[in-house]
This record gives sequence, C-alpha cells and structure tokens, in this order.
Amino acid sequence: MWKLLKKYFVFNLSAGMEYRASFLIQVFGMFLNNCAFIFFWMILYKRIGGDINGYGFSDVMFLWALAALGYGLAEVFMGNSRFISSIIYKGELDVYLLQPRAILPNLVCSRMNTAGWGDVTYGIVLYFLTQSFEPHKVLMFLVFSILMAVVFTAVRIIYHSLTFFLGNAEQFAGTITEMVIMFILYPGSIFSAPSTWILHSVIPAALVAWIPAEIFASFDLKKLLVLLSADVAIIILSVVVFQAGLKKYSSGNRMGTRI
Amino acid sequence: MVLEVDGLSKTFKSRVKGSGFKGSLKNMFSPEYRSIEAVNDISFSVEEGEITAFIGPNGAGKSTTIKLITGILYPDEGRVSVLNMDPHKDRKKLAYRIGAVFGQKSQLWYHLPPSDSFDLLGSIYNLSAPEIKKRVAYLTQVFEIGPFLNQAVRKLSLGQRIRCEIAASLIHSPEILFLDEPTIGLDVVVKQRIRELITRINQDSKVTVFLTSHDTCDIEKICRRVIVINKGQMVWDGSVKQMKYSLLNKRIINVRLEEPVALNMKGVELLKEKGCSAKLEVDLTVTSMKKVMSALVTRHNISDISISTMPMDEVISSIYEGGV
Amino acid sequence: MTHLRKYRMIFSCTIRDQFAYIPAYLIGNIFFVIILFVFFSLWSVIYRGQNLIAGLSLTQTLWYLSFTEAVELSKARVYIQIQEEVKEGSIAYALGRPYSYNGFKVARSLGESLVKVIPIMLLGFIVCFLFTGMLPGYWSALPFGIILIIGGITLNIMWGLIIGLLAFWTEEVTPFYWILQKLIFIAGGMFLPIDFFPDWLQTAAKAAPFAFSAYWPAITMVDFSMENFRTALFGQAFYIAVLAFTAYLIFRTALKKIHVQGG
Repeated sequence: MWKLLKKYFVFNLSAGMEYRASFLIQVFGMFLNNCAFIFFWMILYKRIGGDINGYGFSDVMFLWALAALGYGLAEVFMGNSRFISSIIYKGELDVYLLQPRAILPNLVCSRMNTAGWGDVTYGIVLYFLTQSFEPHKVLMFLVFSILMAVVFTAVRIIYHSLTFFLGNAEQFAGTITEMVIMFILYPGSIFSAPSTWILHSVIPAALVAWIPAEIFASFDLKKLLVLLSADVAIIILSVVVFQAGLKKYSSGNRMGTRI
Repeated sequence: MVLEVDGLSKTFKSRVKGSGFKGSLKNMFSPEYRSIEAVNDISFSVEEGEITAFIGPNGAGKSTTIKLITGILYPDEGRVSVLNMDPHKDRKKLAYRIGAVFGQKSQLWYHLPPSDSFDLLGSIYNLSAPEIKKRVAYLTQVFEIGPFLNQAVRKLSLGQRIRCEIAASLIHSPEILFLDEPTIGLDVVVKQRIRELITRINQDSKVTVFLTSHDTCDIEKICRRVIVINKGQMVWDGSVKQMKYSLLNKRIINVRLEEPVALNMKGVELLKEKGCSAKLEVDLTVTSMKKVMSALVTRHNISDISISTMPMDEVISSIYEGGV
Repeated sequence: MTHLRKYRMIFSCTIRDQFAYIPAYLIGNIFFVIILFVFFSLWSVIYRGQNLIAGLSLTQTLWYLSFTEAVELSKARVYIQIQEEVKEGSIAYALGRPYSYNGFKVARSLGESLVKVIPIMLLGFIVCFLFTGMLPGYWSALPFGIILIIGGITLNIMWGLIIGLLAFWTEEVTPFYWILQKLIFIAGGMFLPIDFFPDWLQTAAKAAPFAFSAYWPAITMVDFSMENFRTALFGQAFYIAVLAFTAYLIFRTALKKIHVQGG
C-alpha cells in the first residue's frame, strides 16, 4: 500500500508541475489569504492586550499553524476526498472498484491538490515564527497535524458518502467541511454550550484542533487518550458509512475522463 | 467455467420529478421514488477462451450486468462467480485477474500521456518496473500506439484513445476482459481495427472476452456466442451460428404483380400488402425458395421481384420483440 | 388567451428554473449567519467587563461587521466576466454595439449586486437583532447608509472593472483580485473597525480608497453623524471618479492594442 501511495504522490507532483504557473498562483493566493488573517489577529491582540478566554496571540497562531499544515497535508496526500460526491454521482467510482486495492485509500490518495503546498509551507513557517523550537513540542505539532489531516479527511468521507444515500450531497458536505475550517481558526473557548456540542460532533472543530491545542499548551495524557479514541471512532465511522454506501452505489454512464 | 451467473437481479430507485410548479415544490420536501428493474433473473455461464457478446437496446441492462459481474454493483438477488470467486468478497483478488474497459469512461489521466498512466496502473497491479516496461512494449507493438504514447490523452482522437484504454486494461495480463461498448462513437474503419485487435488478443493470450454492444456488426464479426437481453430479461442465449440458423434462414421477397397476391403456403408469411405489391417472409426451414418461386410464377404475372436475407439488425430487433 | 398562456408558461418555467439555485443561495446565506455567530461569540468574550472599546460598543461592532460583510457578499464577479470575454475574444462583439463597454458592465453588475444585497441586509438585521438587540439609531441612519452601501458596491465594481481589463496584458488576473480583496479585508476594515488600529495606522487607513468600500458605509450606519456621512460620500465619489477615469484610460489603451493586433 505504501508503495502505491508513494507512487501516487510522485505521479501527482510531476503532473502538478506541468501547470507550474497556476501552481505558483495558488500557493501565492493561500499565502496572501493567511497573512491577512494573521494581521487581523495581531491588531486585535494589540488593541485588547492580554488574552481571549485563555487564548493568547501565540495560542491562536498555533491554531493557524496546525490548521494550515493539517489542511495542507490533507489536500496534498488525500486530495481526492473533496471530490468523492461528484465521483459517486457521476459513476466514476467504477475505475477504483476495478482495481485490486483497498477502495478508500486508493480513492482518496489518487489526487493531489497542489494549492495544499501553500498551506503546508505556511503552517511550518508560521510554527517556527511563533512557537517553541523544543523538539518534543515540534514533534507534538507534527503528530497533531497529521492527525488533523486524517480526521479531517474522515469527516469529509462521512459527509460525502451521503451522496450514496441521498443523491448529490456535494454542496452540503463542502459547506460542513468549510465550516470546520472556519471554526478551528478561532479560539475554541469563545463558544459556549449548546454550540460547543455541535462543535464536538457534527462540526468536529474541537476534535480536529482545539483539544490538540490544549494538549500542546499543557500536556495531559488523559486528554490525549480521549482524543485518540475519538479520532479512531471517527475514522472507523467513515469506513463503515462508506462501505454501507458502496452497496447502494448505482454507477452510471456519464461520459467522463480522469483529470 | 470462468464465469457463472445465476438468477441475477438488480433494481434501481430513481427520483420521480413531478411536472409543473407544484411538482417542483413537492419534490423539494417529499421526493417520490420509482423502482426500475434494471436486471431481472439472468442466468448464464461462459467458458474459458470464449468471446461472448452481450447485446440489447439502450437501457436493456447490459452495463448493469457487467458492473454486477465485475463487483462494481451489489446484486439484489442471485449469485455471481468469476474465476470461482465472489466479486464482492474477493474483489481485490479478482481485480488482479480481470480487466475492464468502459467505452464511456476513462481510466487514463486526461492531462497526461498514456505512458504515464500505464506506469501508474502497472504499480497499482503490483508489477515491478521491468515487468511494466516489458508489458508496455508488447502492448505498444500490438496496439500500434507508439506514435502517440507520449502525448497527453486530451490530444488523442477517440480511436487512439480507445486503443490506449484497451491496452491499459491489459497491462496486468488479465484472464478475462470485459468491454462495455468498446466501439461506441467510432467510425467504420476504426471499428474494424478494434474488432481485429479484440480477436487478436483473444487468440494470442487466450483471454476470455465478454463484450457488450448495440452494434450488430461487432457480434457478427468477432463472437461465437451471443446473449441478448431486453428490458432486463434474457431473451436469447446461444451461438451466433445458431442464431443465424434459426433467424437468418428467413428470406424477404418483395414482389410487384399484375393482380393482388393470393398465396397460401406453409412457411410463407405475408408481411405487408399494398395494392398489387407485397412483402413476404419465407422460412427456409419449412419450405424452399424453389417451391415458393414456382407457386408465384404459376399463379401470378410478376412484373418485378427482389429477394433478400434478413439484415442482422432486424434479426436482433425481432429477438427484442420476443419474436423467437 | 393562448398568448397569455404562453407568457404564463415562460414565467413559471423561469421560476422553476430558479428553484435549482435555491440550495446554493441558502447555503451562501447560512454562511453569513454562521460568520455573524462566530463574530458574536468572539466579540462578546472580548467585550466582557467593558462597554466600549475604541469608542464602539459590542452592539455597534457586530452590526458594523454585518454591514461590511453585506457589501462583500453582494459583490458581482465582474472581473471574471471581463477576463473570460477578453480571453475568448467575445469582447470584440461587445465593442461593435452602440454602448460603452464599461458602462454596460457597471450597470449590469450593479443590478446583480443590488438583488443580492437586499436579502443579506434583511438577514443581517434579523440575526444581529437576535444576538445584541436593536442598533440604536438604525432607522434614522438607514437612508444614508443605503446610499453609502450602494456607493461601496459601486467602488468594488470599479475595481473589478480595472482588474478585469488587465486581462489584456496578463493571462491570469485572479491574483490581482486577491490582493485587492485582502487590502479591503484588512486596510478597509472589513473584519475589524479601523478605530481598533494603532493610531499611526488609522489616519492612513481611513483615507485610503479601501476604507470607502467597507469601513465608511458601516461606521456611518452604526455611529451616525452628518459629518461621517459627508466624509464617506465625498470620499466615495472622489475614488469612484478616479477609478472610473483609470478604467477608461486602461480601456482606451487596450483598444489600441486590439487595433494593432487585429483582435
């Protein structure tokens, strides 16, 4: 499996390089967008002084670095996940079903969204500009970023799999995932119940970023274990929902090509 | 038997779109569903090395059947066994041994040259780099795709692309090749070329070929065995020869006489009559052309006559209509 | 009678056709509501224990953000249209018609934006009302605010026009659009009232054109004074005039380019 993933990676990277100009433009766009927000937080913190419900400027910057790297990794290594709905309703899953590989990894990893490289770079740079260089902190940052990439992709798989059952759910799934990203860029502590329940479940911003940020700020083994089991549960759920959907898959005969 | 299908059925649910303004509104809140029996109780088996054609009009359930056999769709009822495997339980194991081309879908990357796609597909099927190289060299030679192997797929003509598609599906030397409408949209010359290639790979490497088509020429030219389905049900299963025998043993006579036709013979059916012209169908298994002709000559004054065989298209459509 | 039937059918089909866009439209608006919710959560924490920050109350800040977002979300994608027309060469047909190309684009985009802005304003009103209660002075500021919001939208269209016309020189104009968007975003006070900025930055930011797309219409709505209104209106008029003239110059230069290259 790893060999194939590596192959996809190299393959997609070289394909992406064919369109170098648009690649660079996308990377530039991401960079610009993120910088504008950082500026927003800088001014805000300068004006209010102190912290926002326990989150200082550097904590918010950690959220940004984590979100950028996690999202970037998801886009680079599992870039096909955002297209699952359209692949299902256009009947393009056939190609993957005919190949002798585990469906989900094969499906999800077969595409790279080059714009993700902008986020990856940004996340790493931002981390080292604003956070600690201590090896165990850096390690934690990397682990949480990878976890975020995987869990975020699992969430995408769950929502996009609804297309199997309900017809095209692309827009709905896209909205939910965008909301996850939007929420994790704000301090988790500003929200109170009942909205936090939603942010722990339907829009799992807490699992993806806020709890990791808390653990990063002050290590807590119990919290870490709870987080890991929640992550595993989401990943298992995504596989179960997808497999159940596969039984309902109805293919189709639309003209299509792989892009 | 490399392929066995027993009592296969599949029903699709589809949303019914109400008409009119009220319909649209109602649809948003409580959609109505209608079920369509795409495949209904189909059973057949295929032997190793056979080329089998699976034919039927549009929407007959051909593609659905292929997708059920290859494990893309889950059957509602019935059993499928391919190379003694269940296509769902052993999907991955089976995938190494079968190849498929869906004429309307591509497994090649649109913006990249076919050689890149071959490379990637090779590693998906766990082939080593030298194995891939050897196989691609062989396929390039057989399919004559060398000249455009390094051009982006989007720049290829449909005929070039379908050749690459078939080559891509053979990269892992499958034992069974499924082709869904391989000649769709191609011109006559290219169609002929694809048929030759299919026959060649069947003979060269003993690949069992199972193809769907609605082009009757495909079947006449390359298949020994034909299965016809219509509206999800099997209406014919037998050799192409047999089909020709039972159906192609009919002749059509168009005559113009000097008086209305009056011919009552066993094995002759009056298809159409207009004034003094008539169209007759003669069943050669019942009577002979000689008898019919002499009867016509003795009873009538013939001003014009033409005799023709039944075209394959009509043969097929008479099967669709259940006329056999 | 048959004539009437024909038009009724066209009307009903058009409306049914529009049904297809309802989900996309609703989702866009849901986003607006969610953004306001996030802002409300964030700012109510920041405002905890104080009534005014930089001279603004929580109520004013939230309503302010709903107005800047309204201008942003009702933006017409004029630069994309122009870029497409330049790339495809269909701009040549438009040039042959008896109207000014720029004028046509402005009129069309303005229509598009106005259709979008009304429901967003209504939604913003409801949501902000539920979160913070009524904005003091809303009704008396509204007539002036509407003029300035239309002014802000027009200013954005001018930018779109200029960026779109750059397609005559460069293949991809989107990066320019991004830069502009981020400038309005930050320097224009879209996400944060400029009053929150450090003093040395405030004066410059308030005078820059970006503020007249976002900050000035919104601040006039939440902190109304005739002086604010006058500053905002004159500023908008000035920058619209400057940008319109720039667009005209760019367009004329581009025309020469077409004539030289023969389209």
